[in-house]
Formats: sequence, C-alpha cells, structure tokens
Amino acid sequence: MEAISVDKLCRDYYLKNELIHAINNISYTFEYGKFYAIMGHSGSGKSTLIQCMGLLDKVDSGKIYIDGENVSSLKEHSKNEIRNKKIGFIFQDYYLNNTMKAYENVMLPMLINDKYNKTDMKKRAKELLKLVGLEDRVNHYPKELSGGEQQRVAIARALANSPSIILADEPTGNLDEFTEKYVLEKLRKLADEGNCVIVVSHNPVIVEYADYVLKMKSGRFIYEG
Amino acid sequence: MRGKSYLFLAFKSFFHKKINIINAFLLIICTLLIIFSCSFFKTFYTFLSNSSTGNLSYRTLRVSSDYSVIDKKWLEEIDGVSYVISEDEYRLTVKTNNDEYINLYGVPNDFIKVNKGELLTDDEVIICPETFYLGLEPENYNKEFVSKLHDGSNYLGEIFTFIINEHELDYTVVGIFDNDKYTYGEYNTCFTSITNMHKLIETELENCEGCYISEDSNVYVIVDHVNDKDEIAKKIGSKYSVDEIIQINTPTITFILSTFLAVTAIILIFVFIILFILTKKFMTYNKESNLIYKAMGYSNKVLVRVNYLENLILVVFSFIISMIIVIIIYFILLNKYNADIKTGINIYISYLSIFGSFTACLLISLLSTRFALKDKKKSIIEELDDCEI
Repeated sequence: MEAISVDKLCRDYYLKNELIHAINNISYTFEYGKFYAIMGHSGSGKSTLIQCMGLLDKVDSGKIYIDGENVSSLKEHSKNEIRNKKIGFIFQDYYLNNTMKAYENVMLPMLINDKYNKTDMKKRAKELLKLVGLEDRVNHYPKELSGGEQQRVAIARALANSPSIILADEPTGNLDEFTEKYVLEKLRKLADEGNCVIVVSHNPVIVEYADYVLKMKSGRFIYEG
Repeated sequence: MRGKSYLFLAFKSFFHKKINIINAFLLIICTLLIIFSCSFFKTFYTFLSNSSTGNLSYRTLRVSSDYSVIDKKWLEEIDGVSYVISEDEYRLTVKTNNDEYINLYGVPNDFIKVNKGELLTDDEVIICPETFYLGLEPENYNKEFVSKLHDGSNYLGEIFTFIINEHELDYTVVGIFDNDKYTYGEYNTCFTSITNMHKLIETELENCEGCYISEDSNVYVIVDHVNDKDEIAKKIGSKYSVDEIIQINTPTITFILSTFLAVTAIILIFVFIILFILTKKFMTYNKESNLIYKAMGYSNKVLVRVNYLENLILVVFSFIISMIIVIIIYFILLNKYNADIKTGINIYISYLSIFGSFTACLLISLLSTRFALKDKKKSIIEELDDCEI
C-alpha cells in the first residue's frame, strides 16, 4: 500500500551564488511495511529529499502524496498536523530538549495532540521508553544519557503519536556498533509491523536491514535495488 | 494545544535556562529601581509640596527689631501673611502626666484644618497630629500612651494633663491634623488657640521673678505660601530685620529628583537592550530547536507563544522576588525607624509605583522578546533558504 509518493520532485538552492539541484526530478513510491535505505555521498541530496517528504522543506516543483493525498500544496497548519500524526522523525543529532527528562521529551509530540491527557501521555511515554529498553532511564535528563540512549529516546519520541511513516536521517551516524545494530533492528521491526521506514544513511551496514536500497547522486536516484 | 501544555513548556524552559537568572536579576533591579525611584520622587515631591503649602517651619519668618516696638498690625496687613504671633506666645514645651513632652504652638482658631474632630476653640482644647513622632529615647515612653500616639483616632477625645509649675491643666484633644501638612518638623507638635497659649505661658512664668510676656519681643510671621516668603521678607526687611527659621532650596531638590529620574530612565533603557540581546541569544525559538519542534508538528505560532509565556513567568517571578525585597526594606526596616525620623518625612511606597514597575518590566520583557523574535525569525528563514538543512 502506498505511503509516500513523490512525482517529478525538484528542489534547488543557491550555495555561494551557484545553483545546486538538490533534488532533480525524482519520482518514486514508498510503500507501507517496507524498509527503504537511501544512500549516497554528502551533498547528493538525500537529506533534502527526506526533509521535503517530511514537509520540513519546501519544493520548487513536483508533488508529494501521503496516503494518496497531495500534501505539497497544503497550508502550513495542515502540514503541521500531518507531521504530528503521520510522520515520526529521527535525526543524527537526536535534538533532545536538554531541559526535559527522557519521558518529557517523549511526551513532546503528544502535547499538541488532543488525543492524550496528561496521565495518558506520561503512561505512553514510559511504555515507549520501555519498548526501546530505557525503562530505568525514564527520569534522566539527556545529559545523563549516553549517545545511544539519547538516540533511543529520540526513537521513542518519533513513535509517540503512533505514526505510520518513519523518516530517519543518519540515525546511526553518532553511534557505536552495538547501538547501531540495536537501532537498525528496531527500525526493521517497525517496518515489519506495517510502517513505512525510510532511512537516509551512508553506512553500508544498513543494506542488511533494508528491503530496498536507493542510491543518490546529484539529486537523482542512480540505483534502485 | 492546551494552556497547560504551554505552561509546561514555558516552565521547563524558564527553570532550566541559566541565563534566566541574569534576566531575573536585571528585572528585579528594574522593578526595585522603578518602585524606589517613584517612591523617592513621591516622598520628596510630597515633602516639597507640603513644605510649600502647609509645613509651618518653611513658612515662618522671624522678625526682630533693636530700635522699636514691632508693628504687628502692619505685618498682618501685608499680602500673603497668614498670621503674626509674638515669640513669647509662639511655643511652649509642656510635660504631660505620662512623662511625655509635647511642643505646643499657638495659632488662630481656624488656621489648622483637621482630618478628624473639630477646629480649635478658646476652650481648653488642643489639636494633635495623626501620628506623633517620638523623641530620641522612645523606649522610655509609656507603652500604652505610645500605642495610642501611633493612631490619631485612638486619642481623639483623650485628655492630656499638662503639668506646669505644679499645676495640672487638662486639655482635650478635639481634632487630629495631617502630619505632612502642618508639622513643624519637630516631635510631638500640637496646636492650641493663641488665647490658651497666652494662659499657659502665664502659668509657666508664674513663679519666675522678672519674667513676663513681652509685647515688644521678636515676632513670627507665618506666610500663606513658601513661594511668597522671599518677597514678604524683602518687604518686612525694609523696616525690621528678618530671617528664616528653615531655608529650603527647592531648585536644588528638584534638580536632584530630575537627575535621579533621568538616571532611572537611562538604566531602564540599558536593561531593555541587555534583555533584548540575551533573549535573542537564548530564546527557545532558534534554528536547531525550531527544526525538531517543526518536525514534531509544532507551528511557529506555538513556539512564539511559549517564548512570550516564558518571559511572562520571568516577569512574575522577578516581581515576586522584588516585592519580598521591598517588604524587607520598607515594611520591616524603614517602618521600624520611620517613627524616629526627625524631619517627619514619610517614605511612600505607592500602589501605583508597584503597578507601574510590574507594567514597565512586562513591557520591557515582552517588547524585547518581540524584537528578538522578529530578528531571529528573519535570520532563521534566511538561513533555511540559503543552506541545506
């Protein structure tokens, strides 16, 4: 079943007065229940693609469909709602709020979701932390956690509103081998549970976990397999 | 997003940003500065204003002559003169049966306006201040008496027994006047009629051989308004020698007050600029957190509101701390010694200055946030447009 579909997607930007085609006329369909690995060198456009599909960046031309709905022309508040309810983001640098405990970080996406009251939020945050093996780190601040633990908190946060699409940008970039394996296994499991998992990485290990590998160069897919 | 969630985010951000300690410190200084400068201004403005219109010490000229009897009638007819009284009828310090000393002044019956009670008559009555200023050794006073002195309404109708030359003379307090307006700047000032003053002084001089009330002694001229004093003094000076009891340098005091207010205003502007810089640098709404909050579905509007709310919490927090400091400084320290202040100047902490300081700090904080956000938002958009995320 179709999760995200991009149609003739283009994104350009200027770097030191030079026009860069970060995404150059890409069309592709990502399906539920699959794990996609997008690989490529720095500057190949993989991060820009994931930002555009996650509605974090604007596109210059082309269309993005989520669950069959054209979302590229939606207003900002509708995009916010889609990001909050349908998409879970994981970043290389975790971006945890250092002023909040682990469970409070996980609660963040739920704060703007009317579905949860405070008790439910707290309960769900603790369940999610248990899911990523951090039940004993619930009340710890990010500074008190290792890099791997912080990334697991970020995964729990990405899953807070039970999104069906997971977009991860270099999720294992700052992790050791053991934690890297743990995180990729978790993402694989999420795909097996029926979610669409799209991971941007230049780490070849990811190939072992992905259903599809897409290689990018100069804003285009040069390999699909 | 629910209000509670806004509060949660704002409180989290507020209590964990170390920079908020500096921000709070700045706002506390700001609040205290406004409260104390307003209070300082009001205190001295009231003091000057009362000096000009009411305080008798500043309105009194002493007229003397070595060569002739002073023509009191001529003095009374000068424009702007309230009344004229002989030095011998002017003042008498009497001891009460409570061992308290009171300075009694003789004034025309309708001269002192009362807050409570009645005007003077030629019966044996006096009018006294709302609050007595105690002498240098207040611990020696009768405590029951002192407690009455601190609230004029408590001793309205009270009979003071004056002990003069072994005579006990009962005088009833029939009226209470406003300290600020009529005090002579001395302790325990009460007023009685000129007739009564005459009688009391006669009693005082009863056993004093060779003592008598002299009609040709120095006289005191009380003028209507302190501003007319120089002109009246000049007029009297053409005939008799004249001097002021207390000189007041209004322009100097006004200059000090203006300078103080100007310095306060400059400090407030500096606080605004520092807060603007700090808010801009450390606000929650920055590029990094903007990306992740945006990824979670937060709108810019929500983040901006959280920043405003955080600043509101900062202002309220700083205000509460400032109020505690004000209470400690004013209500405990100043109030304890206020009664002993010789000049009788009351220190005012007005509700208006408290409200004003809160409003000013709120405005400074919210405006600095607004400008910082505007600036920050612009730079974030520019950065996002120019670079790959």
